[in-house]
Amino acid sequence: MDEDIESTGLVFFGKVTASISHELKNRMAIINEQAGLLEDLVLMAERGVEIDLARLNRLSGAVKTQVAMGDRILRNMNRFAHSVDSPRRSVDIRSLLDLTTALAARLATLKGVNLELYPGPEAVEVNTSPFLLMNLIWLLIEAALRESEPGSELVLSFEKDKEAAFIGIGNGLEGKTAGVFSAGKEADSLASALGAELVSGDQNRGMRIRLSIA
Amino acid sequence: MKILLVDDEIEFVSALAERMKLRGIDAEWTATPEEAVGLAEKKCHDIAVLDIKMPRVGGLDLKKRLEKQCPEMKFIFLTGHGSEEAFKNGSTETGSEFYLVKPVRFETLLEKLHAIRAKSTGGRKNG
Repeated sequence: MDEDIESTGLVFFGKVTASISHELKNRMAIINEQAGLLEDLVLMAERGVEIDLARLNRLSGAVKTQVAMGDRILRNMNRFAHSVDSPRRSVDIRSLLDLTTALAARLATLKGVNLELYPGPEAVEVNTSPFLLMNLIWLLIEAALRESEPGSELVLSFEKDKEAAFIGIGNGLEGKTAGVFSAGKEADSLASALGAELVSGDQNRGMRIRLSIA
Repeated sequence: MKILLVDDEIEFVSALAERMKLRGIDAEWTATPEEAVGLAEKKCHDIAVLDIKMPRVGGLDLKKRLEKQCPEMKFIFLTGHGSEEAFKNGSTETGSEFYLVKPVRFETLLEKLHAIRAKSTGGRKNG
């Protein structure tokens, strides 16, 4: 693999795993405080203070919710880790975008931007490298976020015609999203390695990745 | 002791505030920096416990806003970034030794709060 692409990939891997570890730490911090609160309430009960059982039930439910969220984060991490299993394979673009949206959600949230995945018209399968494609989408999301205002919406979408699949970033229907942007030479190198093209989105809003289906 | 807790994770910050209240601490919480400034306009808290990374306005920027409102306010920072490097950078950036990594041991946080309070009141106990 090209050295530049490898280095871009390592940076991407680092950013994603750092974001995941941050998310997991947040879940653990919440569980830690909720468990501590349960402990406090039990201590109070031992001292004769009447405890609202419904409250205890709510707290226990809240802990379960956090565990479920942590599990979802770990499942995404596992899918991400396995994206390097084979250099090329048949990739369901919807599933890949689902994962990339979930991984980049925190990045967008910190910027105050709502990252949305618009449902595509049908399943789109492309023979490609899932890791490199996610890396390219990630770079475009980062670039779009730099151009986005807090409170705006950044949209990921996909569609296909007879010859190619298109992944759109930023070309929201409401026109509130980032305009045409550049994701730098790293994105160009990745696109080239994937045999993809970077083209501007509809009405010059955002960017699109064109992947040949053939 | 009046404490202001600010973190965008509502479940975390509300539980933390409740645990403090059970110990007789006057703790208020909010999940948004904007509301934190609003709360500080109504009364100046002794110490603010701020999450470093929050949407739009981070803890460090919020500190500057709160300091304008309440120059005497002291600060403790919380973060989910647990690396040693992040800890060092955070301590340097905040200019504070009170930089705690989540999940925080509640007793450690209480110790820090009391230590800051004792320092700022010169050891006088007033709540």
